[in-house]
Amino acid sequence: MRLLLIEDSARLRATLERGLRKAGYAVDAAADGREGLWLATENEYDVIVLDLMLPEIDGLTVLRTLREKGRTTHVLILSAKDMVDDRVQGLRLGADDYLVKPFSFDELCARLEALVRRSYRAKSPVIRIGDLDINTAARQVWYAGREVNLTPREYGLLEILVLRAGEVVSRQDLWEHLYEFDSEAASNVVDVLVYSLRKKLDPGSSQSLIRTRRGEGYMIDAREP
Amino acid sequence: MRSLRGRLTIWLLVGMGLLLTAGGLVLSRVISSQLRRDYDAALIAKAESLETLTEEQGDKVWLEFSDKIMPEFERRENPDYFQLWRRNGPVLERSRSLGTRDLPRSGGRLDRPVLSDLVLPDGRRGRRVEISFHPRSEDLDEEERKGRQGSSSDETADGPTATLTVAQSREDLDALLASVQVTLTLVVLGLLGGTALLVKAVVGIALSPLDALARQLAGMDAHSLSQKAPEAADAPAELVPVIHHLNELLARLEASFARERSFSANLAHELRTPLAELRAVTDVALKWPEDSASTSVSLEEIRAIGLQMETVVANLLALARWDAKDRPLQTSEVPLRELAASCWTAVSPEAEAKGMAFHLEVPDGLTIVADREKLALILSNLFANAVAYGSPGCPVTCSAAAAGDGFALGVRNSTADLGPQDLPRLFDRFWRKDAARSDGRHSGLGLALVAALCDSLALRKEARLDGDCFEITLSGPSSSFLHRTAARVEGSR
Repeated sequence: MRLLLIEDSARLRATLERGLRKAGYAVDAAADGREGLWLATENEYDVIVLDLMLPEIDGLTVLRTLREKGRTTHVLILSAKDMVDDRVQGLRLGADDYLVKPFSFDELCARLEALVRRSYRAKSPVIRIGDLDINTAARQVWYAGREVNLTPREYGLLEILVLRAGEVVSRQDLWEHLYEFDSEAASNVVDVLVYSLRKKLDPGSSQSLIRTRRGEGYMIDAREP
Repeated sequence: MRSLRGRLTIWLLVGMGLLLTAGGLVLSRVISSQLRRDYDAALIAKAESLETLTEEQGDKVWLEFSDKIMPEFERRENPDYFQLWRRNGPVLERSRSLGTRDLPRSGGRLDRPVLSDLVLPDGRRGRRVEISFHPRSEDLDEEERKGRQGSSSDETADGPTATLTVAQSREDLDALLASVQVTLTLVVLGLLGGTALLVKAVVGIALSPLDALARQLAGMDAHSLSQKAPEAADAPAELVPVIHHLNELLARLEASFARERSFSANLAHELRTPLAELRAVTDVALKWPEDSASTSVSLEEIRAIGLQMETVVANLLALARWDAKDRPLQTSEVPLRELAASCWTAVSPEAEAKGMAFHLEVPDGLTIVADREKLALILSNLFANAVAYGSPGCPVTCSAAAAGDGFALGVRNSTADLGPQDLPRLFDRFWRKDAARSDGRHSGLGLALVAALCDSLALRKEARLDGDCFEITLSGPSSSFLHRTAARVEGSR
């Protein structure tokens, strides 16, 4: 999943970037409102983490502008402003969640997961498709009754395909959800990840859980494979 | 009594009571005297009536009295009395009411009627009049009689030949006098009661603006200080200065509360941001403890955050300490050029990194008497501020010179961020141009600390902005400036 983090505190920004990447997210970061608004307008993100007190353009203006442009990306406001009025104003302007600083990193991750699930209309963190069980909260995967150890990128790819089960997801779409804006990853990295994932999930199976649609992308059938 | 209303009521009532009582007493005295005079005049007139009825012929004197004319001397109940004597001689006539009893007689020759109180023969309190006279004589013509009446007894060979005493009850007079006194007493008491009500009402009306003011003040708290007491045109003149000064006090309090709230909010934000960083750094480090490289970075960040919080707390403590003014000044002669150069060394690495040169325009001989430590803190903060917010590549200039009777010390730099609207807030605590406060290295306390230190050193501070050129000037009084160096200052220019 790909996040945009707009936070002016260099230390907090660097820490969250580091932590969220370790948690499996692709993270783009901006230090002020102007850069953040540009990134949010130019790219597709699953969630935007937005500070309110920002240089150049404040967070509420960034949020209002995004909504006026029709961008429906989920926005989680991360602010030191803890008054009820501040929260109400942020939520009424179109934010999907509000977290007050200081905060628990685990809570931030949980809220981000919830927002990602909402993006794909999934209610429960545990999703079952045939022999595949995936816990999006614990970031754990079981297939045919055995736990499968995946790298963060592999997990991220599988999660997108599961959350969008029954839908063909293009390579470009997968790349954008897995890699940062300034990533130099090769264009065939998605194919390499799918190959690796197939090997870990069903090494001996003749029919893979992840199906290839030539010229279109990849998909997992919502029905049992 | 501490109540203004009670004091006014009591003193007005006591005053009005004394005035009314004195007035009642005077009136009672006047009325009583007049009634007594009228009573005595009537008694004398009655005696003179009897005198006119007395006749003398030769040695014989008699009274031509008729009870039809004066029945009061004959009646059985509550009669009047008279008795007629020849002067120093026997009784000539008594009223029938007197019977054989006698009325008291002074005796001797009386020049005018003598009045006195007595107990009447029937036991009632009475009053009598005694007169001496020459009875009317049919042997004398009118001219002679007048001559005898008008001449004094000493000039008359034989003097008055008869003495008459008339007595009558004075109980009616006493009753009338008592009635007058009771009436006056009741009137005074009534007036006092009315006055009490009037005083209470008047005092209540007069002090109602105070009550209104008290009600308004009672309803005020820290959040409603902007509701000033009304300085209405019809407010009592005595209250106008009170309300005016009260409103000034409320305005100062409101500003103080606003500053306090702003200070608390800023302090919370100043501490909340590093706390948020601290928690995020530790959470991430603890979540992946096996990543030693990341842990090492986290520890560095935790240390930096600790140092930042330490700076904020140290600045706050310094502010509190200088604000309290409880530290005595350690004054000494301070050579400004040497001090400025020394203070610049602390910020010179950062200034060099930003390409900012340092121009020191302070004469060698310029020395002031001041607390060196405090002055060094001021200069260090001004230099740090200039380097942090000055335009990269532009110089920072420190200048000092004699100015009037004192001296002026300025730190000048170029900046593109400030506007004239920012100048009034520069010395506020936690104020920073960047509302987002992104720069964790600065807390917005430096210039506030400069302001507090200037106050303790009695230095006047002024911030000026001329285009991109920003300058903070400190000026000191003559007492802190060594005049003997002035010549050297002038000479060194």
